Amino acid sequence: MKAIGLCSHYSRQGDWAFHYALTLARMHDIQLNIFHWLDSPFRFRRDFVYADDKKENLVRVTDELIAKKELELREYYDFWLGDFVKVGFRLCEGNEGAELHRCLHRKEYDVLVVGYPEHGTDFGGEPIEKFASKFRTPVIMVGPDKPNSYHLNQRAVEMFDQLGIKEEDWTLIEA
Amino acid sequence: MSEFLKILENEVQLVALAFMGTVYFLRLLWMFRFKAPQDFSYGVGSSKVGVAYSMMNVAMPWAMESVRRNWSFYLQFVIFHLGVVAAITATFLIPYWPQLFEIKMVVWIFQILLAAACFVGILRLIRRISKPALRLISTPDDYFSLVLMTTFFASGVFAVPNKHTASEWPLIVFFVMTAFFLIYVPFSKISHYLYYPFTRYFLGKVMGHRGVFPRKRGGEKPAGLE
Amino acid sequence: MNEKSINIEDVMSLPLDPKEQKKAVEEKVPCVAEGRLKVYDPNSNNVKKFLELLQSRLNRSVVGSMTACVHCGMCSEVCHYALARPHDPTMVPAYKSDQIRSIFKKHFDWTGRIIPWWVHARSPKNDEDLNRLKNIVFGTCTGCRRCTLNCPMGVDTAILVRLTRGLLTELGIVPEGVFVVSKDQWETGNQMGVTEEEYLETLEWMSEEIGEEIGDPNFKIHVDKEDCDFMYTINPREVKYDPRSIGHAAKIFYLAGESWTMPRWGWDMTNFGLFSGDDKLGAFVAKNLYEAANKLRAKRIVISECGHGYRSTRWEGYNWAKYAQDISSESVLVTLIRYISQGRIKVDPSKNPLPVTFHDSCNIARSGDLTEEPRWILQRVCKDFREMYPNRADNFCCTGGGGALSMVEYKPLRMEVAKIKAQQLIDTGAKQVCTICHNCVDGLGDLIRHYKLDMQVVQVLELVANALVLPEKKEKK
Repeated sequence: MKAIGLCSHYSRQGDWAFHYALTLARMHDIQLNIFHWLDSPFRFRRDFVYADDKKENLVRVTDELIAKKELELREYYDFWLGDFVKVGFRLCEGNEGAELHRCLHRKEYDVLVVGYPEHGTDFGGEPIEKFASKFRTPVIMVGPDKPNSYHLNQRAVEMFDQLGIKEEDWTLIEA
Repeated sequence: MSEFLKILENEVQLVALAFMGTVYFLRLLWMFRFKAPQDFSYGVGSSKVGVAYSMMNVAMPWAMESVRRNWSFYLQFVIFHLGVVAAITATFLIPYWPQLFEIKMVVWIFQILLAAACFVGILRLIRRISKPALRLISTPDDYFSLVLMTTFFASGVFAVPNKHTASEWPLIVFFVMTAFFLIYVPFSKISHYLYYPFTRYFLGKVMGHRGVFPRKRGGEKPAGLE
Repeated sequence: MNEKSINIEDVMSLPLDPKEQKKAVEEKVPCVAEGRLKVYDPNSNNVKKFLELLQSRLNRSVVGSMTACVHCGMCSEVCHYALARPHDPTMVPAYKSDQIRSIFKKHFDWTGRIIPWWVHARSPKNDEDLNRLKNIVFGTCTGCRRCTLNCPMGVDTAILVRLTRGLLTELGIVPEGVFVVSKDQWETGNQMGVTEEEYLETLEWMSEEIGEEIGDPNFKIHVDKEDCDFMYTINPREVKYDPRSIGHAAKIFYLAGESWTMPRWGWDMTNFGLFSGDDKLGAFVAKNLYEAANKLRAKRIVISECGHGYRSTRWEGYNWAKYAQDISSESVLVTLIRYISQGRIKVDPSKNPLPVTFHDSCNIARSGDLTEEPRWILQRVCKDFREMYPNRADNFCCTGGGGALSMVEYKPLRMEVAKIKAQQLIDTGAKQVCTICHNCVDGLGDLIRHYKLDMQVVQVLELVANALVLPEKKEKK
C-alpha cells in the first residue's frame, strides 16, 4: 500500500470516510490523496459546474473558481489533518467511476475509501455497491448509519489485516 | 357572343398565358443558376427510387404522419386541387370546345367540383384566420391567393353552363379572373407547384441515396446480414 | 406533467454572452487567432456580412425550400415544440424557417424585393435582430427533421435552420456553449477537449480490464495498427463519461476474432459542425477521420454509437470536405449483426430480462438508414423488447439533439417540450430505453430525471455485452 484515495464528499458519511482514510494513512505513514468532484449537468461542456452539492445553481468554471474550490477543499479538511502533511488534493470532472479508474491507472492510490450515503446511491451512473464490488482495487465504504460501519469489496477483504477495522464492524459489499 | 367576350376568351388568355410562361421560364432559369449540391458518399439505396418516391408523396397520404393525424386536411387538399384542375380545364374548354357544356352531366360535374373546391376554400380561409399559428405565418399573399382562388371557383360555378346568350357577366368575370391569375400567379405562392419538383427532387435524392426513402415500415432486411 | 409554461419572449430575448469569446481572443487561442472560428465583433456591419454570406451559401436545394413553403401549417402537427406548446404559435416550424425565408425574399426573390410587405419579406436591421434569430434557430429547434418528412411540399426546414446557424456562427453570434464546444473541437480534434494522454490512458485501462475479464493478459486495444479490417471511431463522451462502452466494443471484437485498431488522431467521429452549421469545422473533423483510416490502410471505418456522429461521419462529412468516399464506413450495429448472424459471437437474451424499448435517434432514423438494424439485434439480446409509438423515422426527438445539450440557457424550454417524449416512454411500460446515440443518452436521461420516470437509458453495445456467452475456456475463473 503506497497511497490511499479518498472520494471526498461534504456530508456526514463523507466526513467519516475522511477520518477513517486519515487514520489508515497515519497507521501506514503513506500518502492520502483526496479527490473531489466538480459536478456538471453537461456532457459536452466543461465550463459550467454546480455551485454546490445542492445542485440547484450553476457557476462558470474560471481559474478563480478552481482556486476557490481547491481552497475550500483544503480548508474543509485542514483542521482534521493537523500535522499530517502527506496529503494531496485533486479537483476532478467527469464520471466518478471513470476518473477514479484513470487516477488508479496513474497509481495515485492503492486503496479507495468512499463515504456510503445510503443503499443504492448513484455513483458514476451505477449503484455505489455495484461500482465498489467490481472495482479493481480494495474499496472501503464507510456508513451509512455509523462512523464505524465498514463495507469492503473482495479485494479489501483480502488485505483485511492491514485495514485497522474490527471484525464485528465490517460486511462484504454485495452488488 | 359579344366581340369583347370572344377576345377575352381567346386573345387575352393567350397573351396572359404567354406572359406566365415567359415568367416561369425566367424563374426556372433563375433556379438553375444556383448550383445543385453534390453527394460524395457511398449510397445505400437508389437516388432515382428516392426521387420517384418523393415525387409521388402527394399521392401517398399514408406516408406522412401529419396527414394521418389529419385526414380531413388531405381530403380538402384533393377537393381543392380537383377544383383547380376543373377551373383550368374549363378555361380551355369553354372557348375551344363549348359543345361539351351543352351536356348537362358535364356541367354538373364541373359545377360540383368547383363548388366543393369553393367550400374548401372558405374552410381554409376560416382555418387560416382562426388558428393563431397560421395567423402568425400567413402573409397578405397567403390570404389574397386563397380569397382569389375561392372566388375564382365560385365564378367558375356560374361560368361553366356557358350561357352567354342569357348573360355574359359570369363568363366575363371568370375570364377576367383567369387573365389576372395568369399574370399574378408567377409572383405569388400559387406557383408552389413550380417549386414542388425541386424540393421533392432534392429531398428524394438525398433520402433515396441514404436508404431512408422509400420509408421503411418494419421487417426489412438489416444491413450486415449476408 | 402540468408545469408552468415558459414565456417564449424570455427565450427570444436572451442576450449574446461573448465572455468566452473574449477570453479566447485574449488567450490567442489558435483557431480564433487564425480566423477558423469567428468571434463577435460589435463594431462590424454584421447585417451586411450576414447577407453576403447568405448569398454565397444559396444552392438549388436551399432555394427550393426557401420558395416552396405554402404556409399550410402541417408541420405544426408533428413538431414536438409545437405539440408541447399548442398555445405558442412561434413553435411552428414554418415560423422558424420563415425567419431566414423572409430575409431571402427581401434580398433575392422578385416579389419580396418589389413589394416586401406583401410576402412579409424583411431584413434584419441590427445585431439585436441577429441575436433574436440566434435564439430562434438554436433555442427552439433541434433540427430533428420531423417537419421535413411531414411537409407536403418537401420543404427541408431543418436544413434552413442549419443554414441560418452556420451564417450566425460565421459572425460569432452563437450561444456560448456552441462557441466553447466548437473551440474545443478545433483545438483538440474532439468535442470534449480530451487530451491524447487521457485518450490513450483510457484505452490502456480498458485493455487491462477487458483482458482480465476474458482471461487473456495479452489482450490489447491497438492504436495506429496498420492494415486492419477496420478502424474504430468513438464519441469523446465515451472517454470522459462512459469508458465501459469502449470496453464492451473491444470485448465483442475480440470474441469475434476481429482485426481492428483505433487511431491516435482522428478518433472522434462526433462533429459539432453539424450542430453549429459550420461546414469548415465539419470538414476538418471528418477529414481527420477519413485521412486516419487511409493512413492506416483500414478496410472499413466502424462508427460507434452516436446519432449525429453517424450522420456526420457516414454521410455529411464527405460532402463538407468534398472528399470522395474511398473506404466504406458503417455503424457498429452493422458489425454486430454480422458477428451474431455468422455465429462469431453468441448471445443469450435471458441475460437482459428487463422490458426494453428502443428510441430511434433522429440523425440515424430520419437522416440515416438504420431502423431495422438495432431492432434485429435487440430482438436477439433482450428477453422483452417492445416498440414505442410512433417509431422509426416517425419517432420523436429526445429533445437533446442539435447541440441542445451544450446550451444551458435553453434547457427550461427543452424540458418543457420533452413532455411529448416522456409520455411516449411512459406508454411503453418499459424499464429501459435503448438508444444508439450518446446525445440521446443524455437527452433522455435529462427528461427521465426531470419527469421522474422509472427508467434507465442503455445502449446497444451494453446490452450485447451483457448478453454475451463467453466461450468456456475464456470464462473468468
